[in-house]
Amino acid sequence: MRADVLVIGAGAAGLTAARKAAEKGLSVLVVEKGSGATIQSSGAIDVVGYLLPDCMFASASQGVRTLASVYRRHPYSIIGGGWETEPEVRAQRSEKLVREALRDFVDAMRSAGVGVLGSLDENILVTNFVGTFKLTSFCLSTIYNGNLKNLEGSSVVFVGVKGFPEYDPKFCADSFRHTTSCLRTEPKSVDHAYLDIPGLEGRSDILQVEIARRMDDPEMLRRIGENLQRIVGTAEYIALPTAGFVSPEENIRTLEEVTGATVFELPSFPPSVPGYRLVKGLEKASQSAGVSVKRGYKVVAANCDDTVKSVRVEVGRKTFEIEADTFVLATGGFLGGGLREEGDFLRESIFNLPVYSGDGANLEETYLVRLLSQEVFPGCGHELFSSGIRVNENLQPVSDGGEPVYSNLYAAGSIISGYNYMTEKSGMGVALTTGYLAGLNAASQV
Amino acid sequence: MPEKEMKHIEGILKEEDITLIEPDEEEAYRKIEACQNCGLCLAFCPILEVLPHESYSGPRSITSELSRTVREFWKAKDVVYYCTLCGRCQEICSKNVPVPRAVTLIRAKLFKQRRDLVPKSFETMLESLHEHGLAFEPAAEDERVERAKGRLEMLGLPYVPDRVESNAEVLYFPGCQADILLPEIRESAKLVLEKLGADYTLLPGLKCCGLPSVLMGDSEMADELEKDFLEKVKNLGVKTVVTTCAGCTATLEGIRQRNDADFMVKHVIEYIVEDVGKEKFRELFGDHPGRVTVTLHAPCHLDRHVGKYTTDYAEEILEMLPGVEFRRLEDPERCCGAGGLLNLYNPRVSRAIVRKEIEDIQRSGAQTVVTPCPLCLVQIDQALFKKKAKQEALDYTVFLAKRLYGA
Repeated sequence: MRADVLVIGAGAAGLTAARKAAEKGLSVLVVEKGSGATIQSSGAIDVVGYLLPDCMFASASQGVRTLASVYRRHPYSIIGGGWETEPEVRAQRSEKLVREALRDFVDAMRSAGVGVLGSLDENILVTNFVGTFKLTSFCLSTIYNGNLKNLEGSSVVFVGVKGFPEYDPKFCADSFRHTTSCLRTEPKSVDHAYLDIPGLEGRSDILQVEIARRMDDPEMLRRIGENLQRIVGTAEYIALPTAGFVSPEENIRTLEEVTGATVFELPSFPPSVPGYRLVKGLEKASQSAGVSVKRGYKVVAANCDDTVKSVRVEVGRKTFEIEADTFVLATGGFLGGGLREEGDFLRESIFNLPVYSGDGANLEETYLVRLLSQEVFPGCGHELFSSGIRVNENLQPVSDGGEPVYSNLYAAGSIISGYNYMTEKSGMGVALTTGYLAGLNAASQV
Repeated sequence: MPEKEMKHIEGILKEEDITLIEPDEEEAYRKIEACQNCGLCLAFCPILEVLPHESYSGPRSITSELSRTVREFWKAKDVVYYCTLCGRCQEICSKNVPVPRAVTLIRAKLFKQRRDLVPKSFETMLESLHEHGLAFEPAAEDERVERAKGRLEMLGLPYVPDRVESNAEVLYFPGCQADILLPEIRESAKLVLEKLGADYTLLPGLKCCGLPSVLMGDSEMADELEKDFLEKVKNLGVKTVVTTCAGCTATLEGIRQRNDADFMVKHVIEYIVEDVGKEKFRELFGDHPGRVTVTLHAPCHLDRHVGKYTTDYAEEILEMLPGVEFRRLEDPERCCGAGGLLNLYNPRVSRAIVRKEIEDIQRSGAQTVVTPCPLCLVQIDQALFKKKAKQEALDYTVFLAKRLYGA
């Protein structure tokens, strides 16, 4: 097997890199072992939210500029042109790239039938499953209307389903009252209600997936609409636990027509229906660009001299070599499987590239447990999640001296060290921007 | 341990209805334990997609709850018989948890200890397996040949007599479906192998590969069939076993791996690509008068249980055939709904799943859908017929024979 560009990993970074390379007219293959972390995401597309736990950026663009000018090892800084570049120039360049990448992402998702709303110049606080908020820059359009700015001064009803244990609308409403009063963005009224969903009555173990599937069935949706109308009264906003897999945007429109209210869904924790739709949208967009996405293809080794020649892929009971001109490593961090524990140490899974902490220390001889804090949720996050490989401004993995390890290998997404997406809320932004850039760079080298 | 004590312990275990876990089961349990309970699989489960039944809680519950409360495995009866073993959950699982294996483990336990909970709809097949070693009641030899000839005539294909040779390189293993219900597949495979000039033989006294027994939980029968197969292949001394059935391929490959046997198991698609070569195969095709647009349904037992590369192979062959225009389905790996004996256990749910597949086939605009699995074929064929669709369904090997012989 052969391709011009081979991308390893089908998360946000990998699929974006693949699409950018395919748009240049190249043959692009994405191999994916199963699934990574993107599909578990909430449906919010964050770019950067926090500098420190209690220090929120006014907007993502401000955040990107700040990180790019101040932090040497942050990916937003690196893509701005490296440490020798003037900080202001670096900040400008980085912001420009992030803008390009996010605009490109929103357009690609739209053409794949998935609406994304938001801006880099204004934070949005979207209401979530537990009645608090998620700080983000963009989100799926089905989630967008649940932002606190919209809900301020309005009447909101949180609608749950009896027997769906993962989401309790009463708890969510109580928590929402508390959250909004702390933030001084109080709504006019907050209420909760329980919706009957045909075929699920009397159950106590309902899955979000089951509710979503019923939303997608036109006849079921009609009956759900009738039930909804009966319980929501005159509320202006209705929060639902999910809007469906296949046609969430139409489903919401249908329910809005019936109720006369604005309907939105809440970003949820895994298994997240919006996260699934996000990945499916990215996949569809890359396939329309001509990318071939292969699931069930696990890369187990690489054949390299000073360049990468081929990778060895395990497919069911067989192994194959896949050759390519350039390679993009988008395997994710420790959670996604790009990094793994090997004899008590943290190692990169495929190329055995040198691994560094977020501060740039080589981790070859550091025990993995040392990268974990003793607290469960430390304010600055576990070091493990900011660890990964180091890259230069072209996104080529480098070693201690800063030289590229292989001249035709690029990296994108959370395999790159220097940022903690969990505490910064920057996961999707870094993935999309580095994916965008890595794809273009990998394509230009073919 | 002295024999007397051992006997005593065994007696207690039997009395208390405790079964020990076999070493290979233990390994499976370890893999199943890796389930993180994230629930991603629920979004990919074909059963949950068609909203069938109030008590189907999906693959996550099979691994996370049921497999961890081994003592109460019988509670799983409402769940495990719904699973089609399509393996999509395992494929997208970040921990690669073998859900299909969990299902067959629980079914085996149910069969052994709570026979009353095993679906009654399995009875006919069970009886046939115990009586004939085949999943369906076989016909007498002359009757079988007559039927085969009739089917071939309808397809416009010639009949060649069975080859049974002692020192052949290749054993063609048709499996129960192609041997009994769909003889045109068996005959077409012979025709293809003839055209390839393969040194092949058929197996006198063919028995089932064992998959239906595994699916019903009858592991003793499966073991018996496994032994029978190994012995026969050993006596024949063949290098490669070629099949035309996805389920047989996956099952026989499992047998080969477990016993570290020194023959290969290949679906005819793999045999063509790996042993014959695509170029050489292409040369066998003359100018076929008919042009046809074809789409492929990739069977779960090849695509996921053997490996995704089989789907690549199947597509590559179709793409190079003269006069054939290949169109990929939107979701080429969708489950047809017949797997795991769901077609016996709950035909209504099984049919609801295949309806999704039929919509996909119709959207593709192809005239013919081909699939390298007799089970998928019957399921899709019946659904197309019910819907009075104008598309036809053909077995992959039959399609190849038709193109090779100008029919």
